[in-house]
Amino acid sequence: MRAFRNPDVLWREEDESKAQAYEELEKGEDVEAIGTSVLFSDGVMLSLNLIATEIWKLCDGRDVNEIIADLTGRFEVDPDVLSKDATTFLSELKQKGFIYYED
Amino acid sequence: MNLRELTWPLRMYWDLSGTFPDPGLCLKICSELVEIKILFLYLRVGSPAANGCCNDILGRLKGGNTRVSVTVSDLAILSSVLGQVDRTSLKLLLAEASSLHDVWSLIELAGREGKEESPFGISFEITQENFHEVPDVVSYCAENGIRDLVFPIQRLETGKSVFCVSRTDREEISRGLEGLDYSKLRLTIHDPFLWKIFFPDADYHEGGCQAANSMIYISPLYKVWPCPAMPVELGDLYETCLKDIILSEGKKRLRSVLLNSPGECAACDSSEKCLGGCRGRAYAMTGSLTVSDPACR
Repeated sequence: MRAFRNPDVLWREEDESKAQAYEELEKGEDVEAIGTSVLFSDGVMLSLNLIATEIWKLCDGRDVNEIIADLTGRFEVDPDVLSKDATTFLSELKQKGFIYYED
Repeated sequence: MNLRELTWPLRMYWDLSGTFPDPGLCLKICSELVEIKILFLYLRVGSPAANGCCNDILGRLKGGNTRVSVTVSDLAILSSVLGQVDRTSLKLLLAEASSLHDVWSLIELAGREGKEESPFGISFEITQENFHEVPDVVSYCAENGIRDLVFPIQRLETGKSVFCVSRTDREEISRGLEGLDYSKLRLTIHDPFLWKIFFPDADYHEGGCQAANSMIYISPLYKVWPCPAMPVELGDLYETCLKDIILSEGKKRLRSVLLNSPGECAACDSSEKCLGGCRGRAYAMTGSLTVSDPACR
């Protein structure tokens, strides 16, 4: 199943927050709580952290395994934890109508 | 995640003036709007003389990431916009109505356009005179191919009378809505208490006052306000650029005030999510930013 961003969702990366998150990451700090992008649809605003933003950006027709493989190569995270978190996050996005799947 | 407070707003409300059209300034504002990545621009065209600026803005933003909606104030402007504006850069066109009769007229005009679905939506500002018409407006729009119905943010001014839908009024509207099917209507409701009538089981999605955070407003005189309903001047675009106004200490101070619920809300279970309701309305009615929305009472 390939994941696609819903084109009705408007979104942007927050440059200052993103720079801050990468800076903290370099220092080995936890960046989970730093929002680096906002998604907006039908009055609902979502704030995503660095990893979630990267997952969102990869929803361009890739399947879940391809998304996870891409992130594992770029971030120092346990693949099993990442796989579980990414799957849960994608389910939430699907439930909110922010992404859709196609075969 | 901690992106509750944004550096740059997501939504900009901009009322264009026919009396003071300034194409040069409008395009300068547009450039900044693109730079700070505004996602939604809500233009309001109050007179035919402002149409030129509206077209310039739409042309400048065409093909970009900013989604634009235009609200026009009367039939003459609507006809003009329908005929002239490059619609490809326009996400939504709304016509203002202040009575059920206005809605009828607009729907008749939409019918003459010969489309099954109206090429424009309705923006219905609720006042003391028309609040009891809300259920009929909803019903009539739903039955006549209107897809978008907006109850817009009030443009409030300090010292002028402010209408808010009281608890009793809301109960009347609620009774009128019983049994109506408006599921196909795309409703936009900015008043948190009015919103609750239509969506009683859901939390108000804004999560507290968004003035000067996710939203910003440019008045017809090019003054920047936190929100159309909050008449607090953050800056003048003739003197200061938009980015500097948004990054100003005055704006930061205002946000720090709005992030705290008014003291009188302390005992309320909803205060964490509501943060005092529409703080602009409270300010316009009382002159204080630290009191709760009078519509709550």
